[in-house]
Amino acid sequence: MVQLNQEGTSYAQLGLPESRLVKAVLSLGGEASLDEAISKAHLGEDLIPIVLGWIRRKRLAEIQRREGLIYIRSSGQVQQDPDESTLRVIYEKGEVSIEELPPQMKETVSRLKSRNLLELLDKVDREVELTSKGLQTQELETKTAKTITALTAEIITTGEWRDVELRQYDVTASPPTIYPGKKNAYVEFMEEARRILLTMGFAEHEGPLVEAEFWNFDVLFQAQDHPAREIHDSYILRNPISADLDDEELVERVRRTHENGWKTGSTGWGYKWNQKIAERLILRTQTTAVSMRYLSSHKNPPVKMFCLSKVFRPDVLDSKHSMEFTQLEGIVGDRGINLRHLLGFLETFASVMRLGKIRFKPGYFPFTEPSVESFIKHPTLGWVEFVGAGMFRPEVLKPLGIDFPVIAWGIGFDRLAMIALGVNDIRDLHSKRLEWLREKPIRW
Amino acid sequence: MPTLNVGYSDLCKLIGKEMPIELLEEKLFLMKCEVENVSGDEMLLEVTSDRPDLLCSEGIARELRGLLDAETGLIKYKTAPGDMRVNVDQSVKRIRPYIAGAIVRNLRFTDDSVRQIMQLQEKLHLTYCRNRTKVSVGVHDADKVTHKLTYAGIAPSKIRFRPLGEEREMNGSQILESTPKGREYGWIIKDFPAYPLLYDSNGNILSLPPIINGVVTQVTPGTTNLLMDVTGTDLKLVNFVNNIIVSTLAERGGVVEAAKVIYGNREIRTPDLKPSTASLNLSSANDMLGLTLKVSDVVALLKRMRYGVKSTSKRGVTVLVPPYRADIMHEADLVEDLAIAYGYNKLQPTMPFTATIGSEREITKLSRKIRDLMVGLGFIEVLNYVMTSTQLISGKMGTLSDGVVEVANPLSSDFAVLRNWLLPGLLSFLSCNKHVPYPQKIFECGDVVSVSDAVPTKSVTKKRVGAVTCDYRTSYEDIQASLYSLLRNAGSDDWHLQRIEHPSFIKGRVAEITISSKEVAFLGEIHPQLLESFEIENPVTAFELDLEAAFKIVDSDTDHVVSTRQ
Repeated sequence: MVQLNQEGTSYAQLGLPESRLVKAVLSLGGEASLDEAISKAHLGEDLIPIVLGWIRRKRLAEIQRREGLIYIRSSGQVQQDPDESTLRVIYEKGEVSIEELPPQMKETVSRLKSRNLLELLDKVDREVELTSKGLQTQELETKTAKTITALTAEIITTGEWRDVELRQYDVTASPPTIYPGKKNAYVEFMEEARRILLTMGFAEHEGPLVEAEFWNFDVLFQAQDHPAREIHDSYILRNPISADLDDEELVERVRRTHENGWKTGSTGWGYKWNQKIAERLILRTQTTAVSMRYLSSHKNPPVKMFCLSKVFRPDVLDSKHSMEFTQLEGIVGDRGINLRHLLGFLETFASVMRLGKIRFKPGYFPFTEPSVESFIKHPTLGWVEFVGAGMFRPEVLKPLGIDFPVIAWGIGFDRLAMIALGVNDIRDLHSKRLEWLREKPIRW
Repeated sequence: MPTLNVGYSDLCKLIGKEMPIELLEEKLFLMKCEVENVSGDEMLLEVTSDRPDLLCSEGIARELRGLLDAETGLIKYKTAPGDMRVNVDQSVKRIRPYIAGAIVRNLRFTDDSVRQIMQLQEKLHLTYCRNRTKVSVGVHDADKVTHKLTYAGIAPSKIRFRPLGEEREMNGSQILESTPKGREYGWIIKDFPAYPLLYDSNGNILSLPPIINGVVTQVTPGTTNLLMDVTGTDLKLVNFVNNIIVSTLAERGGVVEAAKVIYGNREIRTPDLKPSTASLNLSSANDMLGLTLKVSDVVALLKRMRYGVKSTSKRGVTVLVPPYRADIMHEADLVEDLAIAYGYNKLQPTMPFTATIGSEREITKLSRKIRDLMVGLGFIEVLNYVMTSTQLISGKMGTLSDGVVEVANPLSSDFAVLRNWLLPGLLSFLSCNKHVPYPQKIFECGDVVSVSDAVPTKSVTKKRVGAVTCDYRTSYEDIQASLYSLLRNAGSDDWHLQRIEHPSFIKGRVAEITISSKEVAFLGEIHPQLLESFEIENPVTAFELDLEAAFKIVDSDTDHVVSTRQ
């Protein structure tokens, strides 16, 4: 008897590598460099010598060497490869005895065997005869013990199982691989953070991904000529272009705060504020926009909000940069809230997330004062930037009608996830490799 | 954040004492500067973007002397009356209206001090001066020109001088077109009929702000007296930049002489190095920081940050703010400096007493349950980007791209729009995994965005779940069974299914599901035309379900629940 091993099974499903390569060459116009063809056929480089060997032996295509490169040339149709037909037959039947196969396939079986794609299951017929002693023993036994492989419903319900012996298995043999339905590790990491914030008493909130600059920048007291508002740092839109700012009173308070500080006690930026700029729609660059919307509709202390969501900034996708990423925003507002509470929340969150030691330094963000940057100690990377935080400026809070202090922080969540999940390439958080997702353990 | 090259030994000299590099790093870390790299005597620092006065060794040393208690309190920079006059002609009013200046004498330049002043000028231009649009600085040898200057708008064809770094005289247009600086910054003034020009009583050209200086006033190794011109569109900023540069040169022993700037019948003396005043309330400072500082503590902390104190009372302090501090807009800015002087490393983290009860959005809870069910149905969760391409979400899918949110400044056509459905991303995922063992069953629970005039921000974001099965054999019934099972187990039972036509699916093998006559989902077998364009070699069945619509989720948005309060 023969059956397919893992490699054989995969070739039965996808085709033999040599015929896949020839197909790739044909789809590339009948001639292609080896590199092109290999990549088009999605073959690993380790297969190159084997594939070339079989192409030669089966005369599937011409192999030429020019200027140090190998070219493959094939004309006409790919013939059905008898090896492949045999593989499929065995794949569909599972186990086949060589005798059952049509004669032309027997020859191919030995070739497949030599390529190490088959497993031989030795089934040897032996004739056994009882000796006279055996005959005597049998006569002494009241029942004959029959050996069977499969336990069936019938055997169980009829009680026949009492009279049979169940054959022992090789319990150490490898089972087939199962790919379970599975949650995404990065999404699960977000769930963990969410769970922690819930236990810390935070309410979840969300705002629009397509946001008016007003909420993303102006309410945050970022001057209209702030570099972050330039096209290198935010995605502006072709469609839709402009938002309606429906709270006219808020717009007016923000305008005055920018121009001369309004009643906030600030000097303001001292320029002419332009509502047209505030109405421009962009892809949200910071989840702090969500905090602003939350505060504008939650004016009674205490407020404790978090937002774990996407933000966008113009960047070319590579191993370290991404045009969209996830931020974890948190705010706490109440009478008597102070800078030390901010440090307390950050330290607690880092400790519950098991991020290790944390340290703080002064920082700068246009919408917070005092501002804090914090770092966590990574065993190999050293001190890694963890969060930007601070107390919202009065120029931010007063126009919103908030008369108690609010502390806030924004964590670059992808960086944290990469460290926790042991991922070195930021693109792997959005991996398109099914095998990797199937194999990646969900614990970290 | 701006980066800065600083010589370690020069910095120590300016501080007035040798200190180990580790201690220096620690101190800088706690004052908004970070040491990025050290090689030999060279230090590369990253400096906060709100402190233009820290963009040079002199400014950093001034700050460090305070934090090290080597020299605290306000520095009083003296200005002597000088002979520099600038007549500002009306013609610059609409181009670049403001100018400030000074002469600084008795400078003995070293390699370090030359490098720092040039670096300061360059970094100021880049950051605080917004790439020379708002403010720009020209530094000149004061001894090469008379000090009776005129700042006026002159037609480009009438301008004629040899710019710094050029071999010949040029007119205004030539300078903008054919010098490197002209090409870089020319756009700032190009569209005006006249360009701003600064020249002396003998007709020597000092500069064509904000582009380039004339060769006449070129600074050489022998230069000891500098003349500064600072021009711009914002008077406050122009004065701050002048103050920062002049005080930096004073730190190196320069003697500052003021300039008289004459706007018609109004005269302004620059630089004005007198401190401004600001008041600091003791209790609001303590409230913000969570500390119990006394007035005397606050005074000591302020002085470590180089502030002066005009007067004190029980309630607080009237603070003298140094003339180079361009960042003080509000009391809160002084409070942060108190915290820096106190030491962020000494602030004890603590937690507030009020306990609150956490809450999640309804859609988050539902998504979690949906994801559980999808996993139970054997699907693997994938995560695609919200940004994608029109080609993917409509071109390859055979659908129209109406109502898609489109970015105006994409860096790549692959990420130029926001997805308005999930299926394209899932098919693209399959096309990357053709040679991975089958069956392949994947799903995504994520946001889709589409343009909508009904809301102020003109787009709506919806949470959807999409799923695809790809196998040697898979048919409509397989995906229908999965979707039915999902709907039933998520608690929906009054849905209706009807035949539809959809360009992405095989005719007669596609349907939609409605709940309360609202379309909430579609399902079917993907058309072979699509499979071919995605290069998928096996049949695919798919569904996509709108969660909010299907399960009638409305986000409740109430005030926070407080459980206990002390």
